[in-house]
Order: sequence, then C-alpha cells, then structure tokens
Amino acid sequence: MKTANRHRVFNSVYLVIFVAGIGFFALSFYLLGILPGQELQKEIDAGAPADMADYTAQEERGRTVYGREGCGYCHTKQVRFVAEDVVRWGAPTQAWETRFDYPQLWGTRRIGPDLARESGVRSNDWQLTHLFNPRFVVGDSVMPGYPWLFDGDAAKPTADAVSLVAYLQALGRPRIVSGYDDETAPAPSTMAA
Amino acid sequence: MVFNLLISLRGQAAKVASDVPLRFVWTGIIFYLLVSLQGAFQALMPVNRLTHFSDRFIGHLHLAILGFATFIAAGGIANAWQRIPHACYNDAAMNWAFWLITVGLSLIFVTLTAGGLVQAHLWASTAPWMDSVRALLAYWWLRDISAVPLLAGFVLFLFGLTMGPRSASCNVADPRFHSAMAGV
Repeated sequence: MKTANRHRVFNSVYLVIFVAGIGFFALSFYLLGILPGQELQKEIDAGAPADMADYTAQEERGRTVYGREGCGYCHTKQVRFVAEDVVRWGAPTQAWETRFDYPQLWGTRRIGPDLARESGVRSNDWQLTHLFNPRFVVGDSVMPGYPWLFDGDAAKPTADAVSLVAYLQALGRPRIVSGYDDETAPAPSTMAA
Repeated sequence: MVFNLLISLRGQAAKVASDVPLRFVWTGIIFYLLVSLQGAFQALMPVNRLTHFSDRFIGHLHLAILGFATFIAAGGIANAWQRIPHACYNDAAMNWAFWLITVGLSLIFVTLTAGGLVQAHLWASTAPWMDSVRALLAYWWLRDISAVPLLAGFVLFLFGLTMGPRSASCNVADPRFHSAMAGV
C-alpha cells in the first residue's frame, strides 16, 4: 500500500513537471513574444496623431536604400530619454514616431550621430555631397562614401540617392508636423532630468 | 552552469593546464561568467545611460560570441576529434591556437571596452560629435591589429585538426576514418 502511494506521488510529480514545463513555455511565449507587441501597439495608438502621414513611395524607397547600404550599422534613429541624448538631438523618440517603420531600423551602435531628428537639419545638397564623399563636408569623417549612388559626380545623384535623402529629410517630420511638442513640452524635460 | 563545470573539476585543476581542449572549455566558462556579470552590470540604468550605443557593448558582444560560444565549441570539437581513430590531431598547434585566440580576443575586448568608455564620456560632454570619432581612431586601428593573432589562431586550430604527428597514420580518405566517423 505504502509502495503504491509512493508510486502515485512519483507519477503525479512527472505530471506536474510536464504541465509546468509546457505551462511555463507558454507563459514565457506570451510574456516575451505577444504581450510586448500588444503593449507597444496600445502605446502607439494612444500617442500617434490621428492624421499621421505614412512615408511617400519615394521615402519608402529611401528607407530600403538606408537598410541595404547598412547605414544602421553606425547610425541610430532613437533619441533616448536621457539628458546626454536630448541635449544633442532634441526630444526623446516616442513609440508612435516609428509607427510606419516595419521592420524598424533603430540601430544598435553609434559611430556617427543619431538621425532620428534629421528632418530639415541640413540641406539636400549637403546630404548628397556628404553621401558622395563625407570628407567633402566633414574633414575627419570615417564614414565611407557611396559613389555607386551617383553617376560619377555629387551633382548627378541616381534615383536611389535622391530617395535616400528624401527619407533622411522625413526622419522626425511627423513629430514636427503634429505639434506634439506644443502640447506635451514639459514631459520630456522632466524625464530627462 | 558555471558552478557545475567548475566544481566538476575540483581536485583536478591541473588538467586544465595540460589538456588543451579542456582548457578551451574552461576558459569559455570563465568568459561566460564574466560576460554574464558584465551584462547584468551594463543593464543598470546609471551604467546604461552612459555606455549604451558605445563600443563598450561591441566589446561585450565579442566576449559572448568569440569568448564564450567559440571557446566552448572549439574545446568540444577538439576533444571529440582527437579521440577519433585515424583523425589527425596536433596538440602543439592546438596549444598555440588557444593562446593566439585568447590574446587576440583579450586585445579586442580591452580595446573596445576602453575605447567605448572614452566615446561614452565624450558623448556625455559638450564636445562636438567628431571629437569622439577622432578620439576613437587609435582604438579602432588597435582593434583591427588584434584580428591578426585571432585569425592566426583559427588557422592554427584548423591546422591542428588536419596535420599532426600522427600524419603518417592519419588519413581522412582512409575508409577506417569514415567508419569511425559513422560510429561503426
């Protein structure tokens, strides 16, 4: 009788381990794979302006070039909620600002500066010259030139180069257009302090 | 995992010095311990605030992939390989491979960590962005040079698996080698 009881305990232990194993796997799948996406979507829906414009076809093409040429290896597009970043580039990036970026190209490493607030900071001519050969405008730059985006001269950009610049000029634009900072200006500065 | 492997060696620590594949695995475990502690440390807000996006993280990643994963895999491969009948194995080459890879990786790690901290402090200062690029040039060159012992180490590792003192008897074209590989 005692032996049988012990066996029953052992059997239920295996059952508990089995159920717990599957259960914790399912739980972690939900917590790590599903819940963050849902929460992010909620936050985007809550923050995004109702009339937020998607990228134009040209900007979308520029985004593809940005990914293809590996710009994201050395440039981030994400201003963090810390004073160090805010001082250099402006308001911290909100989730809704990259709403139409799929997949997102936030980047993981900075050699060059962040580009999340690049819209309108420099002229198209500056951007094109810099893409053709960065040393023409920034003396000690270590960024490679992208001459294959041009027909032999900085003044003769291909459609790819023009699209890429259009995309760079669109980075951070929804925020400028929306007037978001007029309503919530105090929030970022208190978080950065 | 660290505890398990290190305690398994209790009383036989001298083996780590004499057995090259074991030394690869042991060093991999130490790298794992280091990289785990460093990862947890870097996730702390005051540290992350300063060093996020800097080369310090690239150093951290090298320690994880080249230090932990590669060393464990290399040790496992070498250990299994040297026991296969008629497979070539050169212990001296493996020993050199170990030290060259270790030195190369350590140089990369130290260079990127130090450079990353310089970079991070310049970013946090009011200095122009280009100052951080100019300051890091020397570190990036040093990091490039560190690849020389690292690559040499991997070449020697391959050498240790294909040439050896047993080369008179070792022959991967030998059918006995293939039957051994197939576990026959």
